[in-house]
Amino acid sequence: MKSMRRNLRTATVLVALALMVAAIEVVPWYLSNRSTGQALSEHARINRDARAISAYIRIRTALSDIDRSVFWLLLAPGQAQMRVEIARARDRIQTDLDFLRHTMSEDARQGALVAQLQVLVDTRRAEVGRVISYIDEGRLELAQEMLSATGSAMPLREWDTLLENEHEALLGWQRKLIDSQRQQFRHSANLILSIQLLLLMVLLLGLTILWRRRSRMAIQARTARRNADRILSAVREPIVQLDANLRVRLCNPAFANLYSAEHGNAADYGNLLDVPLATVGSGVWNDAALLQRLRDVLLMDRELWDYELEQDTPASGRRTLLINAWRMPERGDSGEALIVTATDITARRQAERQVQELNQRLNSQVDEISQINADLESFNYSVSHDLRAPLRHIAAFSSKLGRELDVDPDTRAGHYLRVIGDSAVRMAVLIDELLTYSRLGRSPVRVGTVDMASLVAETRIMLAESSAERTIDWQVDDLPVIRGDASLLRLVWQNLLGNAVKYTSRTRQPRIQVRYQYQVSEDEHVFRVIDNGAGFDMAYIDKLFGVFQRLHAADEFPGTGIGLANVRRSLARMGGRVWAEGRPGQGATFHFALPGGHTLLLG
Amino acid sequence: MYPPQEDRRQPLTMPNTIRPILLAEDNSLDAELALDALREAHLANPVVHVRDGAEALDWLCCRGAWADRECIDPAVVLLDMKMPRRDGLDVLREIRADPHLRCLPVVILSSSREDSDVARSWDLGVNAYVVKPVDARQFFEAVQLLGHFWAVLNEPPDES
Repeated sequence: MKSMRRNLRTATVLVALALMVAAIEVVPWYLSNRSTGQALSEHARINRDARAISAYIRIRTALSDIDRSVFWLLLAPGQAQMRVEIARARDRIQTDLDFLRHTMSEDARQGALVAQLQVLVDTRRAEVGRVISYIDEGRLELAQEMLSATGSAMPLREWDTLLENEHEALLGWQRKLIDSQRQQFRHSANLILSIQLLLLMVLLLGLTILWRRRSRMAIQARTARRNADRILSAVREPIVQLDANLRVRLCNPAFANLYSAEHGNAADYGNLLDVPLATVGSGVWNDAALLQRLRDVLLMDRELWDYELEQDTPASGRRTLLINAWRMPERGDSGEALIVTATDITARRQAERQVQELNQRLNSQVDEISQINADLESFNYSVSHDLRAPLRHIAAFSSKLGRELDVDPDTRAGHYLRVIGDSAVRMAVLIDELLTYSRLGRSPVRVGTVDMASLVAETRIMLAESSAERTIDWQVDDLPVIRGDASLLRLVWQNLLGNAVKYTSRTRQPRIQVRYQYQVSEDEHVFRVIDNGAGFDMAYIDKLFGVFQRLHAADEFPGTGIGLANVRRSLARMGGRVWAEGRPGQGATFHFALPGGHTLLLG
Repeated sequence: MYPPQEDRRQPLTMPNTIRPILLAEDNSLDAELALDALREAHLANPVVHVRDGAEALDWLCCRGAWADRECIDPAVVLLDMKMPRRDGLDVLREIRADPHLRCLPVVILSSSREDSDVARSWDLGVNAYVVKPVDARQFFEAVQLLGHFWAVLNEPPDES
């Protein structure tokens, strides 16, 4: 499309130039031709008129000659010479008259004049003839009288005037002709000059445009070459251009820095020019397979992709290179070329090896961890099976002992036996709780849809039994449906609400609030359980969520101290967190947050 | 201390009362406690105690040491979970796989309330999974309750 338009433009320019050249050639030719034709015809006319005038003058002279000869004849009638002259003059007159008649036949007015002249001449001739005949008869007086009478009667003077006028007109005509010709010549010269100037300007303009375009293209080409050079220099990957004989034709500094040390100054990559690739860098490129592949690229226009080449260089040790090559068809007579890039992947290979090693190490660590987990599993299993049996036996046999010895439960011995049994049971509870805590960290989290409102309601019903004798003021917000592990969340609510119920057991007007807020900025669901119970001292906040850590005496508020540890672990498993604040005697607030983006329904 | 439940002592259905109760328990102390509890329940059913799963299976299939016993199916099999040689789950699996034994009531008595144990037992078709209580009184009550339920209240299918 673009080339078509360019062709069209070129053709237009050419046609315009041709037209202009034609104009310069044809217009002056036409003008000069026309003016020359005109001038020729004018000249012919002027010439004719001039000849007519001279014919008339000759006629006039001849008439005078006749008159003079007749006069001479009158003086000496015997002079035959005069008669001859008269006859000759008469002939001349007739010839000139014929000429005039012939010449002036085209112009009516002139024709009429010639006719009048003919009459005049004829009349004169007749008169002269009569005078001569009078002379011949000897009647000389009569002849003289007639001659003087008719001579004065000739209207030749009018004719002279007429002729003079004609002559004047002719001169004027000639002047006019010359003027008009001069005018015409000037006009056509001006015209030709302006057309030539115009053409010259067009040519100049065209040349300027061409020159500008050429210089612009030259600048562009230079800039492009410079940019290419810069890019080539900036590329840290060695790049080399080879000719058909696999000799270095061009290379970038990266290539030269690596391989030209043996060929002179490293910084000067001109040293590598025309060096066969096989000998570059003391032969590190002399790899038969690679050279063959490069020749294939040249001959069959194949591409060489990621050929891996190991090079041993004294400077930088063993290197692994990825060789890529393309054939580059060159215009002109420089022949085909090959572009070869060498990517140093030594570091990558090293990194890969390191990654492999790390992976292996990681795998062995994973194995170790799996082993540890398996050990832990079997440990848990044996704890849950084997540790409980002795406790059961302690409890059961101490009780049996009491029955066997018939011990009164109210005596000291009865008390001791009860302590033994209770301690065994308490230890079993502790073991169970530890196992639960351990299981919380290992069992998979099953994420599903959890209605927090019903979980809270369910927990409250469960807790109502243990606090039946008290009236607790519950204030519960609308709670959302969220995504989480239902059993973990149930455990969270059971512990937090259970604690709230437990620690308000000595409060006069117990109040437990469950508050909910969605934190948009953090995309978190935040729940709060606020009670007005025993509270705790913030100094011990770091012990609050530890395993078997308690801030109250067991006989004040019962418990093992694992509940909040379970809460923290459960929330951590779901990506949540828990924190608390409190003051002794003024209640506690437990906050827990779960990642949002999972809200299905608010309220 | 543990008042016997007088009204349930006399079984109404004779066939079930003559069926023995099989107790498979490797721990002699546990076995002693369980046997005590069952004795104090005053059941008519004899109690057979074996010390591991393999023995339990031999007894059930009337083979080995019990090749010449009178082959009567037990009213209930009380299986300890963790036993030498064949454990409770092995025995349960065998019983459910055996066309003659597969309908036997089997109760797992275990120290553990590990989820995996419970789940596997129910998977294999246990009739009840009971965690042995540590508290002495609760343990007695649990064993006696099991005895009463399976030996007295429960009606097994006809032998034929």
